[in-house]
Amino acid sequence: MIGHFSADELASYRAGTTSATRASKIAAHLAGCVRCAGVDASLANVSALLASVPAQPMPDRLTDRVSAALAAESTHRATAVTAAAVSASAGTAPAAAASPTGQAGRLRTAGATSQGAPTAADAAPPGYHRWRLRMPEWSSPLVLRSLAATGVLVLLAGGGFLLASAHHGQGTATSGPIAARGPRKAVNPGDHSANVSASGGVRYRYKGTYLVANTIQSRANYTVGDLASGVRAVVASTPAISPATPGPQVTSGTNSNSTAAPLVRIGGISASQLTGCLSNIASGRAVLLADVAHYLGKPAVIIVLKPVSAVFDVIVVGLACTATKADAITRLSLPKS
Amino acid sequence: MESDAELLRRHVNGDPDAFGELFLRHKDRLWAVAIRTLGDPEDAADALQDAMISAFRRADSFRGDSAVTTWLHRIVVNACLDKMRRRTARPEVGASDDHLLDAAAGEASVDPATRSDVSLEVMAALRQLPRDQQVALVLVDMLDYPVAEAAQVLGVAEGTVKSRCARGRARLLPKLAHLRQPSQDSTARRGNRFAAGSVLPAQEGSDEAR
Repeated sequence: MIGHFSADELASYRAGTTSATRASKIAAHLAGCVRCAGVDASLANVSALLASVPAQPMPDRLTDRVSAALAAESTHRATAVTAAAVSASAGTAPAAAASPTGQAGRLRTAGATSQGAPTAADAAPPGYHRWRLRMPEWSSPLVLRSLAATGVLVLLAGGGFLLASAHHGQGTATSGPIAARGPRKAVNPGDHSANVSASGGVRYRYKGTYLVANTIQSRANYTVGDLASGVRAVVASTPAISPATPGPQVTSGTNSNSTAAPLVRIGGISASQLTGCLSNIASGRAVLLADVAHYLGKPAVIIVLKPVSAVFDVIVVGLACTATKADAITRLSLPKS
Repeated sequence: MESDAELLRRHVNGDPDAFGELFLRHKDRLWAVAIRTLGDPEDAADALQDAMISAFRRADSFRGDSAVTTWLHRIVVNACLDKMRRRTARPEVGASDDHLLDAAAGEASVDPATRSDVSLEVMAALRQLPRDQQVALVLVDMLDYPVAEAAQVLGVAEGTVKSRCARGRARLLPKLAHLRQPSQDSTARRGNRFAAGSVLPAQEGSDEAR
């Protein structure tokens, strides 16, 4: 027996990178050398060990993070077009105005995001900085629609917006998260319209695209008995964001010196989580509105789907509702009136 | 189902959701590459996110001379290599401390893949190899990519992939010699992870076939 082969040489042989003559020499040697055959088997074992490290799917939390970053990128790409479209069509969109901070350009307006819209993927405006979204509390990119009817729409840096309530008296635009501060007295949902502290829009997935669900945060505490009447009251008193209604694309009120932080939460739920939740619950149907309120004393989101055959579907979910988990509390089918 | 290329074309034509769909379609394969290359889930997600944003922006430069998945893989691998380079540049202590703290806090931030003893040792040994060898072994041995595809992903000749794998395996040999194939002695210890597994090791080296 001649000298043994090195592990490197044996590995090359196994990988098929040795010359034919060398390979036949090694093959002949392996047949008669226990030691080299052992090394060869160990090399196979190394590959097997590597293959044995189990595969795990990507954790949902991290998937959501990357998806959110892509959605933001998409929003940015669309707004490169939209910003131009808005300034070009200022005459035809009466209320359209960019916010002084330039943040209007961040908001995707639905009218300008039709599939045929030209893209400007790399035409980032000067000063554009790349979205780096790491936090789950990120607010979803929003599609704005005609929202003007009842309040002052405040455009917020970072893609959120907030419609200050003007149902009664002066608006109550809050800066930063619009979760109620301090203890909050739950009231009868019948008085709902007087008690919407804030409202806005939250994106949700609808047939391969995104729509905006009219989202309010009421102080209502719904109960089994008054869910139906409460929902009717809310539906009646909440201004519609109808995806089918043409109108001003981006509206900005006089309260434009906003230094508000991005709208990242509505009550106890983040906008991004609510996006997932609404997409999950609606699963292909249109959302009429979502009310972040209370049900039987516990924080809950009351989701009203657009009526089909004159029946509203109402789904009450807990705040653990996500894109993959419904956390449903109760459901109700409600004849239209 | 719509092909990857069609989806990518829709994205280039302005469809706001097409790229997200492409990501969701391939995320687990891409994730597998990133988590095995980087070990740490946060780093892997960072690299994957950087890669996807980069692919999102460069989509119009995709010429179709490789499969869309190969193109995506290449971008992910490059992002991982970037991350590895930066990781070596920064003090290693901080990073591993974070990791330990997370683990101590019971955070599920450690990829379950690395939890079992054998997997842990295998991954630790892999980390000590030169980056090129690590990545080649991740693709070929761990994830079972054909050498030809790995070569496309890495942008090198097939022979280069083979020799990187060979050198890597030879280097791992002394570090892993004490470990058996999991199918032989540790199936029971590791519960049904392998029983259910799509990743049962080959009984003998199948490298020649690749």
